[in-house]
Amino acid sequence: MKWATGSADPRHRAASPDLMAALLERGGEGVVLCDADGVVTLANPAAVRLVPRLEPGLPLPALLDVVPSAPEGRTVTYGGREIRVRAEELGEGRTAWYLTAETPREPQQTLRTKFLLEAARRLSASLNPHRCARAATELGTDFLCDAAIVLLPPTARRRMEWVRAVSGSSGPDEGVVSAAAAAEVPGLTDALAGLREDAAGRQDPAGTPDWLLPEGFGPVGHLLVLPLPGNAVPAGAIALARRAGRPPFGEDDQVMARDLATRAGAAISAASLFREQSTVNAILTGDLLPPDLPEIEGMRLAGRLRASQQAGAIGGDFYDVYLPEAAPESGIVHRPPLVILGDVCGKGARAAVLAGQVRHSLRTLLLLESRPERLLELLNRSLLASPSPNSYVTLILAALRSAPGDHVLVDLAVAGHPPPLVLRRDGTVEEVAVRGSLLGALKKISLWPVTLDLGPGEVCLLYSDGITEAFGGPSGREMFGEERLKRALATCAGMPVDALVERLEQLSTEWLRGGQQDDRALLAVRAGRGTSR
Amino acid sequence: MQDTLPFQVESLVSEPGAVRLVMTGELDFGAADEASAAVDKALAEDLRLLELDLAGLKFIDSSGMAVLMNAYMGAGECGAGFRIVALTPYLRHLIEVVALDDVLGLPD
Repeated sequence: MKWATGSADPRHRAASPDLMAALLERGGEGVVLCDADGVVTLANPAAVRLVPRLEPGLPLPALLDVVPSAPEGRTVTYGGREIRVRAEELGEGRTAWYLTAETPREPQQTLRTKFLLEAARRLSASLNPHRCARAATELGTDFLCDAAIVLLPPTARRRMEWVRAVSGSSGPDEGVVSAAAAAEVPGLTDALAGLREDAAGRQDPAGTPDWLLPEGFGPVGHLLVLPLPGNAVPAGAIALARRAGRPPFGEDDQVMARDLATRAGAAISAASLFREQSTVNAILTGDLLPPDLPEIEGMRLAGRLRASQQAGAIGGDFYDVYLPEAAPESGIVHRPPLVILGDVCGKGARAAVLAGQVRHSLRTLLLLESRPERLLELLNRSLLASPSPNSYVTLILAALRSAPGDHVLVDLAVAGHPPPLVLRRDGTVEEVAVRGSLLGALKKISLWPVTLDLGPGEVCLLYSDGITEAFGGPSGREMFGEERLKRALATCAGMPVDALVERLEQLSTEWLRGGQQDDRALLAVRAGRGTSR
Repeated sequence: MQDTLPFQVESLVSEPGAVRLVMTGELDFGAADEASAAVDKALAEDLRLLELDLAGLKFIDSSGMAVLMNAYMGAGECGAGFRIVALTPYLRHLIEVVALDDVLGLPD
């Protein structure tokens, strides 16, 4: 500090006590003077703002009782804020204390809040593990580092997929390395084993393998490698790199890096789990997919199966066609083609498994038995013996025999299913008088099979209750119902069978008016080869 | 569908040793567990007769039908009687479709 001395101009004379007092009064730094007994003799307003208990004549508050040894002072917390305290001996036991509020920590907290919000938004946007990994790397480069690399856990073939974002370059890139090469990344093996007790993931940047960063990235100055915590096993690891010359990862950065790893790990493991379950579901529901309908001499078949739109609630409607053996060996029964349409109890994977079980059981039984009612009795026994609960199935079996004059004789057996409808040549629609108990519930089932004679152009329609129980209509709460289905079918006289099922399905969909739909299955058999009467 | 009616089941002791379960709303896939639990609880009480009042059921799907079947069979296994005391025409029709009307002994 310099003082003006000996100047001729009075305005440049040495500062007067008044001026000194004004300086102290208005200064931003807190100044406290105290005497040898530790009693405050002066405290400027800035000091009192920081420590309101300062008052001339009273002893120094406890926080100012130790003179900091370091010239830059020390930081104390008072009243929820951090205050840097310096002290200077002024001689004769007097001490001057200088108090300054530490730079408020708000900016860093705001950054963390912003980061957490962004992390939540971006990481929850996808159920695809790769997209989650991309989001994690971009969060890394946006908030923490120059390059962020997510390594996904090794696959069965000992290879690891990586996703990398580098600040300043366009979108993340991806690749695959062998697990052995990946192990060169310092700390990666520990991170993948879920070990994170080491110094907050800080690793020796000199050990960074070349493949981890793109060409021209330059030397790495600072490297963090953290596990991505998953369900029991880590969902991978993330490496965060700063170029040489950039500041090291501070404490706040490391907290944020751990936040990033935790959130990315949760998102990636949830996405991986979802992917696995989707795969399993796809395999299971494959058994519910309708088969391609074959050409059968003397008749036409058409079917539609519409699965429920509710995710994970695949219902149990199914249909299938069993053609006779082309060249039956001895011991294999000779029989006509058989179509079936059924509905298993419940929804989801359990229903899919049960439907698959019914279809495969029937395929096997058909090698030895051809009478529809006998087949149903055998299926019933097999379902009763099934250890899984609620193995209830409703089913229609229809054996299709070509008869002279383009007629088709349909041997129908119905187990607990809505009876088929018949569209006669004159446009009338009948419900076939056939019924029987549902399968899987009772030891002794009752069946009343019938044989139906379809003339040329006449149609037998098998359907599931998803068609008639579609809720919708003008009120949105009315069932489509059997009467409406019969009336709709009556308008289809003369139509090709493909167009007929399409029209019925469309009418049922329109009835739903966008409402939630259950599974719906339709299967129609039309006698004769032609498409018109 | 819109405006689904929540499923509810109420358990009443109609006479000593007899429990009447009054089910209302929609007995579908989502409600089946709750309905089954009520049946199991009733059957656990050394029952002589299980009665179901289904007059308030607006809708029932295959999972709901399974609950009724399990109740019927569960009662049989416990040596208890089983009776449906009231039901809607729609439900009666469905029970006839699955050909269980004789077995379940529907009211006239």
